[in-house]
Amino acid sequence: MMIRVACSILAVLAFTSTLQAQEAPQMPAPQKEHEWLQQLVGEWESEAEANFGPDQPPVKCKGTEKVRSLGGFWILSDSQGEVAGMTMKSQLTLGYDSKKKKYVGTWVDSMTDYMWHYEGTLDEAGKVLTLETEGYSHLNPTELAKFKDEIELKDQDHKVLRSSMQMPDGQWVSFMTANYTRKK
Amino acid sequence: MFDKPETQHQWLKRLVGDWTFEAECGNEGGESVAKFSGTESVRMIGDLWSVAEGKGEMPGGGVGQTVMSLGYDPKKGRFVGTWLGSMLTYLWVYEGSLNSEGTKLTLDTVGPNCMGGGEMATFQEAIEFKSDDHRVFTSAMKGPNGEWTTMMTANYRRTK
Repeated sequence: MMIRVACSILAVLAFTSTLQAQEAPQMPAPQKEHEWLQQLVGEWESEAEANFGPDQPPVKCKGTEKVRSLGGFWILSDSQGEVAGMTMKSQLTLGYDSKKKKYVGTWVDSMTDYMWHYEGTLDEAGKVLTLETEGYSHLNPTELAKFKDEIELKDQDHKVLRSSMQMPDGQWVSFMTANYTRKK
Repeated sequence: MFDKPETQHQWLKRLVGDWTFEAECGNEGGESVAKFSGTESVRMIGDLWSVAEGKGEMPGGGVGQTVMSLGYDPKKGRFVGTWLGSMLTYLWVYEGSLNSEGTKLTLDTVGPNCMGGGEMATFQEAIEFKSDDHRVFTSAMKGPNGEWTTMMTANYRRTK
């Protein structure tokens, strides 16, 4: 799958060399939005609490997360946690699309066959990344609802992930909060 | 609460392992622009998702890294996935299907025209198993007149 990129670069090389034979092609450089993501790189421990309704007890979950950088544009996060006695694995990818001017990414996990697609923005203070997505409603698993994941960087070693879902009446209800502490 | 793997998810496990690849740009049998090679490691996240991480020398220098995630969405009845590379900020989104023999997964996607210009183009890519240890990846781009051009072909051979 390397090939598409390599072939694109070759095409750019061929294209630019006809125009400017002396100049090497400029690969795009990471922007400040990409650099923001790099703060997430490292190893984290998490404690999460999820609520799926007033008639259900909250679900607690402890886990670990390893976040790697892929070049300067993307981060790749692999998490593992215990949920109701089962091991749940998940992968989060996050990047910033320079053309769309939006953060983009995905979430997949070992319990779900649905791929979550993110589009997001950073607040002005550079503290909270809000990722919007759509998925099957907790109220009705055949209907799509809007979801929101917020990653808040409290400081270099503490972050919080909050997940919420939009109810049919338009209200947002938070159903999960996870506190992360950096190990490495 | 937990989604159960289907035969399509089972199929993804054929990708799991370590691979080397040799790729060339241009038409199969036609004049190729360049050849290059690399490695790919594929693992599962649980039983529902495969993640392939590739690494290779880039033409013009430097090491490129890529990630391809694939799953199957039973509600859609389609394979779904994404592809991203360490040198691009665009996230490629796939939807695809398997042929009836179960040997070839065809993936549709939209992305920047790789011949430059920056406008979006339609691509069709495929992963075809020749045997358990040999698969071929192809990527074709649809031109403005609807014609398909194979942009690249890569042979993957299993090392583990």
